[in-house]
Amino acid sequence: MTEPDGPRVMLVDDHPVWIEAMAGDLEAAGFRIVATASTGDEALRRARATRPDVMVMDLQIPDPDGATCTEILLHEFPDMHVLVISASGERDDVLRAIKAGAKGYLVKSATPEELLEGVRRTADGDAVFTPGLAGLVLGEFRRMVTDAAKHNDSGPILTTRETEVLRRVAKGMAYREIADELFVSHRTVQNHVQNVLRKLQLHNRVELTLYAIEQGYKDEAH
Amino acid sequence: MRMQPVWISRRDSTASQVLLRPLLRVLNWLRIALCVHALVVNALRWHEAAHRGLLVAALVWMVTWTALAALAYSRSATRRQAFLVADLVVAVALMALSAPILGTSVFASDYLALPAYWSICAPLVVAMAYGVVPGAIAGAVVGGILVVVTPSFEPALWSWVVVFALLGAGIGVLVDLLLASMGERDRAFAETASLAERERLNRIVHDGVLQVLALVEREGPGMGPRGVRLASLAREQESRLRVLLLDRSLDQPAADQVDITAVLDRHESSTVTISAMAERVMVSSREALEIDAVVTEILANVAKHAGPAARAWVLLEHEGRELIISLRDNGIGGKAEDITKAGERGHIGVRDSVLGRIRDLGGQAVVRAAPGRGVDWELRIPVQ
Repeated sequence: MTEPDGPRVMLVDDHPVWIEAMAGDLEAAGFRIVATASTGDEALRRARATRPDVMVMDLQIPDPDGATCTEILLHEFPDMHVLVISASGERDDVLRAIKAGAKGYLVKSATPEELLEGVRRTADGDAVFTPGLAGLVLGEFRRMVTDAAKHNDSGPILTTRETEVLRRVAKGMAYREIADELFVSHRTVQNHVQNVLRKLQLHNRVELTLYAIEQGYKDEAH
Repeated sequence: MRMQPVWISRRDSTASQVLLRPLLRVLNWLRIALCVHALVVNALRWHEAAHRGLLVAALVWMVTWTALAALAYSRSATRRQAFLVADLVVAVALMALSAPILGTSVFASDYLALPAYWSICAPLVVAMAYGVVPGAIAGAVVGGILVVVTPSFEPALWSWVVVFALLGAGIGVLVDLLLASMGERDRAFAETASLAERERLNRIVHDGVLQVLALVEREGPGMGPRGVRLASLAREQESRLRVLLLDRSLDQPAADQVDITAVLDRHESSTVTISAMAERVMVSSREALEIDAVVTEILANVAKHAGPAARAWVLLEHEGRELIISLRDNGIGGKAEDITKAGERGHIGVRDSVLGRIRDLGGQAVVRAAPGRGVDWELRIPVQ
């Protein structure tokens, strides 16, 4: 084959001008655009057919929405890397996509450079943590701890260091600045962020399994 | 108490019309039934009556009036109004004529009036149109005329006043309650409709305007200095539009509780990023106003003192019984003491708007700053 061997990317957005603009920038940077889609239906069909390495997923697309597509696709292809982008930050949907296993979240007003960097990091399997996402994840862990306390068991908790790192990301500090302030290496900061996301996604999977088992018992009882 | 009859004051309100039309129809049937009852009652005491000719005339008038009422109350609002006055006069007149036409001794044998219970219909219409108090008064007047014409302490006589007044009041209360609950239902419908409408607008704006603005923002910088200016204008408008779309004040379950996340989201702009959890955090509207004022003041200070390229981040956390709001900027910074001292020296903004307000809310404000490294506020506010 003579095709370039950069990461294979699929773009999902209901606006053709956006797909065009993003595709242009990504191709210029050496990525291969293997498919595009403008609805949830198309996204699911074409992703199954082309198996891209990276999905750039707009959350506000017609049926099914981007968060649901992310859930379905990551269930079928756990190795796929999904980067969520969204024009208006609907926190519930972003959180749902992240819990399903998306690698990160960018707002649409991000610059082309930020988008390229985001796709590159996603392709490498790294987390793309924006301040908005850090705030969401912090809040979600707090909620899980409170919930677990209500049921008298222990939910997933963040270590003190992880909380420190996440709060600084949420306050807009760059990894470099955080590393300086906490006297750790840049890589350590990145690892903490990565861990937090993994913890959240793992917990989500455990909960889904528990839920499935519970439902199974209920069905058997009938 | 309604100052004007519903069919006048709320003529446009479909709720009251929807309620009153069937009620008036039921009342017409009641009037016919009571008319038949009165005819039977008077037929049974026909031989005892003092003035049979006048009794026939009065009964014919009652039957005629029953037919007229059926027509008049299905007519336009103004005619109803005039007819209602006439209706009351007829009811009072027939009641007043009871003793003279039947003969005092016949009337005093059981105190059953000439039109019997037919005369309650006019007070009931008053109750439906004007509510509880006028309904009770109309009932008392129509029943009370019997006592005026034949003064006596006989329970069978004065009970007319009590029963008619209570019936008028009772129907008035019922109609008032029904109208109130219909109004409540209509308000809920209207709210749902306006929410749906805003969602529809959201979709349209999202699909079109926001996307194009974001695209201008994105592509502008690649087109030279003019492009940069276009991009920054687009960014400004996009932020403003998004704040409008995010305005969730309508979804608030109760007006005295406000989602502080939505309040903070309104500060989002091209230079201000708001981070929060996905859940709502409800606080009292007083607390929300105070917090909003504090955040506004701090962000205004960033815009004024932190330098032109400064950006700001706001993080909202909810930990146990405490809200933690962190505000950080990457501007030119300064010394933390300077900022606190500015407060002590009487720098109004910091002293009153930030420290004073947070103290009033029972919270704490801590500020950290260093030259070249921005200013970092942490506000801790207790919530229930």
